[in-house]
Amino acid sequence: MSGLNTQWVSRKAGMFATYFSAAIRQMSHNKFASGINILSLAIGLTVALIVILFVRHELSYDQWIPNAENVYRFETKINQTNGGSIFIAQTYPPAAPVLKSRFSEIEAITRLHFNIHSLHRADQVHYEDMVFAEPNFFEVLDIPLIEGDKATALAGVSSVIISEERALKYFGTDPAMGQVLTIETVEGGELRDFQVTGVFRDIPRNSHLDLHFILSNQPADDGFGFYDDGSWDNIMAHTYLKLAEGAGTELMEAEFPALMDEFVDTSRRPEGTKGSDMVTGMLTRVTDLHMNQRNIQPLRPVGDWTLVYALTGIAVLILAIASINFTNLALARSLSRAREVSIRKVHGAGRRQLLSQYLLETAILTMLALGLALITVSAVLPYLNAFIGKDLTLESLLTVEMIAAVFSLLSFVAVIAGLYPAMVLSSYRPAVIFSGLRGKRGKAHRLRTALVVFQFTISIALGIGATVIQSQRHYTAERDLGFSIQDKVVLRWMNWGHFAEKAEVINERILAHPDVIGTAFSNVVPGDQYFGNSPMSVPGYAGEEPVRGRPVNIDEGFFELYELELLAGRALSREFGQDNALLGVEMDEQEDPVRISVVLSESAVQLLGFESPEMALGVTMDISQPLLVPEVVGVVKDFHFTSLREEILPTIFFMVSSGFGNLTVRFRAGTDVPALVSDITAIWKDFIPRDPITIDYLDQNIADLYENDRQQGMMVTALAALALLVACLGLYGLSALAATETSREVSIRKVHGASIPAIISMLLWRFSIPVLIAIGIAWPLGWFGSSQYLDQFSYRIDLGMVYFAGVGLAALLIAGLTVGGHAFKVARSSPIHALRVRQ
Amino acid sequence: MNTQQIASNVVQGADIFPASKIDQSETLFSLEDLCKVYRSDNIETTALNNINFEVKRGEFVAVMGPSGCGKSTLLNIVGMLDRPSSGSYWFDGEDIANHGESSLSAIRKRNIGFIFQSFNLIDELSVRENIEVALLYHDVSKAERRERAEQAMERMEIAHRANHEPSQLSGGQQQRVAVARAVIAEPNLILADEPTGNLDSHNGQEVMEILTELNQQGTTILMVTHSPAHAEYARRDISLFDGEVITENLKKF
Ligand SMILES: Nc1ncnc2c1ncn2[C@@H]1O[C@H](COP(=O)(O)OP(=O)(O)O)[C@@H](O)[C@H]1O
Ligand SMILES: [Mg+2]
Repeated sequence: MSGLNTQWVSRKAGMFATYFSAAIRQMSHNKFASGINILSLAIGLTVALIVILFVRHELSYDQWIPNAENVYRFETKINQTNGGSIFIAQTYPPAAPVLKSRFSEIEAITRLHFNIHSLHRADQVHYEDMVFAEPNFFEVLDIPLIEGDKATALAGVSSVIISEERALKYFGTDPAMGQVLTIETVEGGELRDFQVTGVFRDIPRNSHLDLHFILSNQPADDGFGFYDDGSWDNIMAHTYLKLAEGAGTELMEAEFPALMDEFVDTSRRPEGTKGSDMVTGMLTRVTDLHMNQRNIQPLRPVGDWTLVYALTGIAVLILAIASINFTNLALARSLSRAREVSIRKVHGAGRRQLLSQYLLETAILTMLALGLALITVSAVLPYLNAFIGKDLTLESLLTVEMIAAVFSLLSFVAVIAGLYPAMVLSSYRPAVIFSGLRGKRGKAHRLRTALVVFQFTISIALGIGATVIQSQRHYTAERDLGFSIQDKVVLRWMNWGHFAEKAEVINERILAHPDVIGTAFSNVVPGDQYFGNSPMSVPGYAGEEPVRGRPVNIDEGFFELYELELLAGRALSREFGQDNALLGVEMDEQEDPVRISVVLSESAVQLLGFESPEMALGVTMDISQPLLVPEVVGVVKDFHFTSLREEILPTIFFMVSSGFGNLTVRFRAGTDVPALVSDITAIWKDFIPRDPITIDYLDQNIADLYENDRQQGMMVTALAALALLVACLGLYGLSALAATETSREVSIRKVHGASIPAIISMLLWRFSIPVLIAIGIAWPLGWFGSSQYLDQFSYRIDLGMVYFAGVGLAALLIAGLTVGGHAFKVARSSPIHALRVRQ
Repeated sequence: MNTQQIASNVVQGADIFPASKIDQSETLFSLEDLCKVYRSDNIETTALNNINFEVKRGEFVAVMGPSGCGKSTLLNIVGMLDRPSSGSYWFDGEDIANHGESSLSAIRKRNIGFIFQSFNLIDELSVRENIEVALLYHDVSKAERRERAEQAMERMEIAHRANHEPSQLSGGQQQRVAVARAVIAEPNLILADEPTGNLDSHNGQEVMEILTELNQQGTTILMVTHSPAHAEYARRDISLFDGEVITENLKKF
């Protein structure tokens, strides 16, 4: 019995070896087609592998947190008076103990507070993002400690635990434990010492958290940490909680409105306002935070489902294009292989054996392509990671699921690519082949054309998408934003504790610099994320609902510096007492209303119901602040301070001579900017020798708004180019293989007087037909996709014919160049060879 | 005296052809000391060696000889598909060495029709379209092309197959299509390279009768054949051996 089995196995093995060597011989015999197949598949698989790594990375956020499926963040939805709502990652500090006492499902709840601080080490000051945490931090976010004891690491008020990476940065090879870090508040310049009680493993890149310093929270309202005085007034504490195993969130969330009614401070709202009218609480699982982030100001760039789906879709399509090359080249060669197949059949090969031999060939080619793809991916990943700011690694493929995924992908490709040609080949009847009669080739030919059409449709549609994205980017970059971007740098954090008192002198010194044209203070500069929002109305004008406007606090010279165009009235200036009437006024002690000048933007004036900018001059506004009576003294033209994705927000400019965090410096065009920056740094050092300056380039600050668009644009462009490349590789292969087939026809035509140009144009036309059909199909597809994309921009390009015609022409041209070489060769060759008697 | 000289004497001295509208004393083409040498990878093959002969308008000449003796090479050169290595080729009073590719192509399409052993029809085109190919690169309107193709098909008795593809026809039918294609442009000269080589005797004979008829209407024919019976249709035959003309016979009718 077992003897039979062994025999059977060895026979099978022998057969396999025969197939294998036959397959290898076939491949080396057809180096050209095999080369094209391997190359296309390698490109397709490279794209697919990178997309798999990317998608896996995006979907794996925070899975590494122990117990992640039970860890949630308590977040807040704020209902705005205009009916909109915004989401905030924090909540009221006293919410945590209340939640803990009300819901038995909560096993632990802990609060965090993020802020930037100065860290003093030796003689140097470093700005670092820090988080203040409660002692039970690890009960919820159980991040692995390398040194220290979780139970006590954050006990007391003067502990800090730091990341491995920062331990190395600040202490080198010295032990970090027990070292003292001196940290300064932003406001008072007060220094406080913290002792290192633990070192944690670096937080992986696939986390919504970006932690390096975790400090014991400071219980007082002193600029360190969050402050819980029991009032539900300020939304400032990040609150994480761990639910008992199996506990759901619906029941809890249903009770949150009642909780808000009970606790939220509504004293500054109109009579009868309920807490739940203002805010709602909600629970988000930490593993959902990255992909489903709705909150403004996320801790790290958030994920984008659209991108994940789009990339997955494009990768599948490119892989399909590559697999089609396989099918098409195989079909194109099928006639010449028909002879081989027929001889095998005559000598007893069954259809199944032929099928297996062919599929084995496909499998070997696919594995070679996979090898090539893996090498390419590992070479490309470092650049890609730098480009998209992620940490994709090939090692992450080394899990059972990933390996299974890759192999099912390969089988998919091998079957798609190999099955149809295998069926066609193995179905040949030797009698037909040997008789020299050739059956109608219409069907296989039509299929080939249809597949080429599919390949080019995808490539062209992607090409249109890429062109539109790039044009929109260009439009964004070139668009007149309503103010001048060029030749400006911005000094940051000018309102910090001891910096604020030096701001004036630093400004004066900078102004004296020969390259500097002017400077201006403000609380925000273009490109900054800024969510200030204030109701404004003018009694007697427009509707009931106040207009929501963005308050911007500027010093004199701001309009001039940024070249904002005055439409009516005047700019704010220190010359007018009323403009900075709040100078030195302590609002807390103020009892009588203060009259103050404001400048409105054009859209604010329109929304408030004025027919012209002039009509707004001199009117008195209501901004829901009883002690402030703003009077309009000027109107400026609209401008884009934020992304063009967003509508222009009506803006109200004040001049409150404090709280200017930014000093914009405008310099002469053509200035040596690095030299100027080092001069400004030297001035800063003269007054603030200890702390480093923070300086930004304004144009970069604005470009950062579009960084995501830039990355996506580059990715789609690269993918479209690859799709076209793979499609053209296929076309190239087809034209080469068709050359033998075509040369007989061309010879006949030449014998009958066809000229070389006539032949070339005939061949080009023949290969253009599928591309032209593809253009016809790709246009509506491209139009639909591009419109969807552009709809997210408030300010966008028009979808002109030029994108469609341009990409179509380019595809036609590239296809023409691809097949042109062979067409030329065939057209020029002497007809006598091809017309000799065929045996 | 070598064989070439004998041959030319015989031809010049004879006035034995039946009268036709063509002045048969006029030379259509002549070859002088013509050689063709193929060079490939150090191997030199002399396919034609010092060929001299001429063909007058209205003649029907058969070329015979064993396989590989240079018959097809000769036809290719006469058909201006290939150029001689040395010697000269005069066609219609002009030395074709003085013509470039495109000018040769123009002379060819005006004067010469081809019939091949393996038919050389285009698989993707219908019978009608295959025939029209011979007028496609002439200055002929689409309607006229249609019309003339129709006539040619009638003449070759293949009109009922006009919309079929070559692969659906028998060998004899395919060769009729090829003949129709060769005559549609009304060439002065038809070059037929073993036109009956792939046909059974019945179909072969039919093709020969068609060629004879064409010749009687004035078309000059140069035909390669292995079949002595088919060579009988010609008025003169030339035997080649190893690239050289060894005999020329003029038959009397
Ligand atoms: N393109 C070519 N290159 C090299 N040798 C050739 C070529 N064409 C024909 N020959 C050689 O020239 C000789 C004559 O060939 P061909 O004219 O085809 O003979 P036939 O038609 O009489 O059988 C043969 O020896 C053949 O091998
Ligand atoms: Mg021959």
